[in-house]
Amino acid sequence: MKTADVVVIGAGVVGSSCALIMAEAGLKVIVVDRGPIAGGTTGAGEGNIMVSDKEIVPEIELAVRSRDAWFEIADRIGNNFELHAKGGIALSRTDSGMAGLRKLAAHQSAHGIETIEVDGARLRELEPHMNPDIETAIHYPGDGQCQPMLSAAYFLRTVRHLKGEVWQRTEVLGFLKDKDGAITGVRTAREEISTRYVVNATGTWAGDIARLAGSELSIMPRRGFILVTTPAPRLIHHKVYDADYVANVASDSPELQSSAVVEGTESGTILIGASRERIGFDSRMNMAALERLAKQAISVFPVLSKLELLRVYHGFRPYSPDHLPVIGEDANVKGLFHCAGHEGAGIGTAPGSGELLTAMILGKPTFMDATPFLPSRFQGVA
Amino acid sequence: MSRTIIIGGGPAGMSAAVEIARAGGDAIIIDSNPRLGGQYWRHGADAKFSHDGERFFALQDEISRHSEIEVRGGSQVWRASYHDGVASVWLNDGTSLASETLLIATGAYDRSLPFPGWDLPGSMTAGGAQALLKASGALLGRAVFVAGTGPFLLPVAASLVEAGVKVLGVLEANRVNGWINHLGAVDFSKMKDAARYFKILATAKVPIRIGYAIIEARGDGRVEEVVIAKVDRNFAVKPGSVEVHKCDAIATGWGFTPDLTLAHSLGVTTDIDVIDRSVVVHVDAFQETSQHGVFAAGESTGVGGVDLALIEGRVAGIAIAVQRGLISTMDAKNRSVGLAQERSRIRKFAQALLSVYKIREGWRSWLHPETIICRCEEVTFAQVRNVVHDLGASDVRTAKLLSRCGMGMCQGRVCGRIVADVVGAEIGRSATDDELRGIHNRPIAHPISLATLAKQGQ
Repeated sequence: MKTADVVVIGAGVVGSSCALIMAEAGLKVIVVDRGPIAGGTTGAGEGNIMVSDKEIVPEIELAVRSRDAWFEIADRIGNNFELHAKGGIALSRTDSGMAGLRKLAAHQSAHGIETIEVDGARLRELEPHMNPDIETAIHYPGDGQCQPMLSAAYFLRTVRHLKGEVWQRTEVLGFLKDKDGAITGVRTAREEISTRYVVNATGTWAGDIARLAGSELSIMPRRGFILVTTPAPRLIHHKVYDADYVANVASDSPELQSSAVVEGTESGTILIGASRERIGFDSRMNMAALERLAKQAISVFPVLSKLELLRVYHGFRPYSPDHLPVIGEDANVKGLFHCAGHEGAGIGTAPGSGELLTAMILGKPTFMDATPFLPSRFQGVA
Repeated sequence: MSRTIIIGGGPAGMSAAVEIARAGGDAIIIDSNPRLGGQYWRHGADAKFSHDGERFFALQDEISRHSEIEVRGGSQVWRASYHDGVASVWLNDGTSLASETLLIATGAYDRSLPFPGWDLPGSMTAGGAQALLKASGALLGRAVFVAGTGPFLLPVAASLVEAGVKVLGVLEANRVNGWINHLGAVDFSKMKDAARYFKILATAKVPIRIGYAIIEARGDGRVEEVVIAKVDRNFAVKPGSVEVHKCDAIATGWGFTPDLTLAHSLGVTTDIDVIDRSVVVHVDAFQETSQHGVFAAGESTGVGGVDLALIEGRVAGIAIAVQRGLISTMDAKNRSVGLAQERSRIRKFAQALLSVYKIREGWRSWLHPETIICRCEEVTFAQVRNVVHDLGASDVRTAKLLSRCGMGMCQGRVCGRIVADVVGAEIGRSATDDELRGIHNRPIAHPISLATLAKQGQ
């Protein structure tokens, strides 16, 4: 039998962030995933490290700390994952939309997010190809971007260098508990691991792991398509998105929603998101989503009509009933800590989530009040 | 019932269209080339063929006589899907078509192997060099080596000679003793073709070297010289056999593999060929796939050459006519006399060729760390090794996502199989069947203008 201080289930960006921060804190970590590295939602994202789309105070605090933590990690282990502070631009072409954006910006800047309202002339400096009918927007210099799969891979590489282990293609089969019901180990397809702490970082599948441990957790998938264009010289410099996007994130509607989120990547392709559908794990292509995304993106950047769609990919964002992540110890199973349900923000808020969990496990103070993220908000205490 | 959709206007698609028309049915042939003929009968505006033009003209004439057959050339299918018995295709002009019957006749493309310098200008695939010549008469160079494996190297070299190119050598990596006898032994009808090619090459004094390969191309900005070596039965370089020759271009060909992008989108069941592990469409005796009403013919069911494609196309066309109620099964039997036997005879021949001209694993020993594996994204062999050994990629997909290998413009058409084999070797196992199938997973089969896509929703 193997022994570890912590077993992290899930080798996505959330699990690998937790593993990295715990390994750096001196804990012996084993990461277990039934698939490959970054094989789930991490491998299907844009790499958003956004502060601009956060509205609720705890999420703002988590996003701001996480953004800083991203750059600190890059300083510590090397920036091999295309991390850069590209900045975001939120726009609206309606007066009521802009009024909403201004109100949100005022709220965000009161909580430490840098926001700058820009006029048409400045907007053209920031994004020369933007539709001239867009005359004002909010610029968020603090929004960042990374390549999420490389991030997870390099985090886990560091974990291995810190004497941790990464077990790919190893399914978790069950948990060992003591007579009081506290976790004492994990049964895996490879071998048993003796541990007191388990981190459930399995994103959309977190409910399955909770059930396997004898508890419950409601994390559901919300499908999104991303369009990738053929490579082009740098046309778009920021993460540019329609204000409707913020409204969509917080929406409870199951049907297709979309609003343009457009950005360039280091490889020259342009990514166009973001659609949202709650239709379970359905991987069939939705033509309506593609058409609407293309249309909306062109309306913001007419130059895109000259480009071609090269690829489409989709992923399943893990969301919780209140759209906030679930970070903390299970109310029913001692030693089981959840770190899941980050929805579309999981890349950005992974390091802060990892810091919160590490502090909780080590019994140290957390950088913020994590009460709003605790799983107990959904779980009846048995 | 809607008219049958035929994707691909090569030999298989043309012969199927003719059978459907003879049965009184209608069909639309979609092809990205402006003209019918596919790769095999690719031609320019003047439609001149060095040989075998008669069969093309006969098919083309019959198709043009039937007004029920529409030929839509210069049209790309960028997406296909199959739901509830109906196959749909979307074209790059923004239109779409749907039908209860569809024929996959999408052909095959060259298999490439990377070697140091294969990405230099002046280095082309054998198929690419010939397509260039056929379509526009353009030459890839003045002094050229043709190398790789397979009987296809002969017509390529011969047509280059006929076009006035100095062919410095034809290098066949496999140990085929008595090339011409070998071909004759399995299919006497191929003797005539082969004899013609050999005569052209002999007259031009082109050296044919068996058991040799180009293992490197060098040059300042384009191919200026090649490194040639004798290789063993596994394609590993024999020590002391290395030669350097001046040339200004090279054409390398390593056989063909079916283009199954649209087949994959249509959700048909595929097999993995036991000999070369290519993904091929699984069809029944009537060329019907696992999806009712979706048929496949020609190279998509396994590379077998023009004669097999013509027969499979006929079988598919007749079966489609029966399924559409255009003819009776008795009528179909009369139209199909001898086809099944001929199909199985040529298929056996094709499989025999495939096992003789197989790509052997030793080719990987030609790679240098800095050799480009993925040309679109300029990913090197060392970078692929790095994502496996340093970053822990343990499967083909993860290796691709971490290295960007196969993520570029060609969407892995050129390098997909190479990456699968290289990654497989690095992680110590062969690529799995599903990983090989994954090479063909391209929901967007061909780049589509965003403007066109946006207009579809209106």
